Amino acid sequence: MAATSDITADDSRGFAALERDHLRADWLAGFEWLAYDAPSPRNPLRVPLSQARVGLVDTSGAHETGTPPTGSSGRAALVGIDAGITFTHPGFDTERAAADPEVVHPVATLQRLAAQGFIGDVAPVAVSVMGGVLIGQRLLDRGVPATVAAMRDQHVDLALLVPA
Amino acid sequence: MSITQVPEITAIIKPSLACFVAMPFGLTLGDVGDAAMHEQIVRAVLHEAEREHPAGSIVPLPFRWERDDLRARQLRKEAL
Repeated sequence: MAATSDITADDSRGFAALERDHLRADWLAGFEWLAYDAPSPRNPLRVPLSQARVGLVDTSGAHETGTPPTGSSGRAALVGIDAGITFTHPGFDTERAAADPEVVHPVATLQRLAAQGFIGDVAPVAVSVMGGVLIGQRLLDRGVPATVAAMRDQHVDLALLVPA
Repeated sequence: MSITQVPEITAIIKPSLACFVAMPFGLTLGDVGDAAMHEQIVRAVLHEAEREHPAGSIVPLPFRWERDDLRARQLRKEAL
């Protein structure tokens, strides 16, 4: 495994502790990162990338315009890739994403890659959660099952998770 | 296949495979309007999905924010 210490250009060292302390002070006393002892297993691609259906998952807090945001519920929003979207997220400046959703919700980018034959196609429904859910169990109970179901229902070969 | 802007946090959670890009929060794939960069990053990330990385690998990619000090300020909690 490529350990964090091998990433010599990592300018974010120390941020995990800084962010944890900030969240404890301002949002949730006792916040702790949800830690795992072992990595999730890899599931190798079963088809060439050029034939793969790619599903988009992101933590931008995107939701179809006119629908309620997911907030800190841990729920996942199902977002049609042709739908108008709104970004609701307290942890980053959503004005940039509102100006150009591709910075955190790369639907058009993936569609161009499909048109070029780099990937097979793009799943018609993306999944977005609001990445600032501080009680990790909420994501595990709500967002994760919904995300997995959405990817499976669309026969996604490769899910791309984009953090905001 | 995940992207990460903070390898330390990713190393705690341990997804199956992640690619590190030193980009600001909210501009993960590049600047507003920079479609070429968005595509370069997504291409590079998806390409790594075809390679035989061990589970838990965090692969550094050569993408760094150089336009201004936004990322640095974010990492000091001085900017959103």
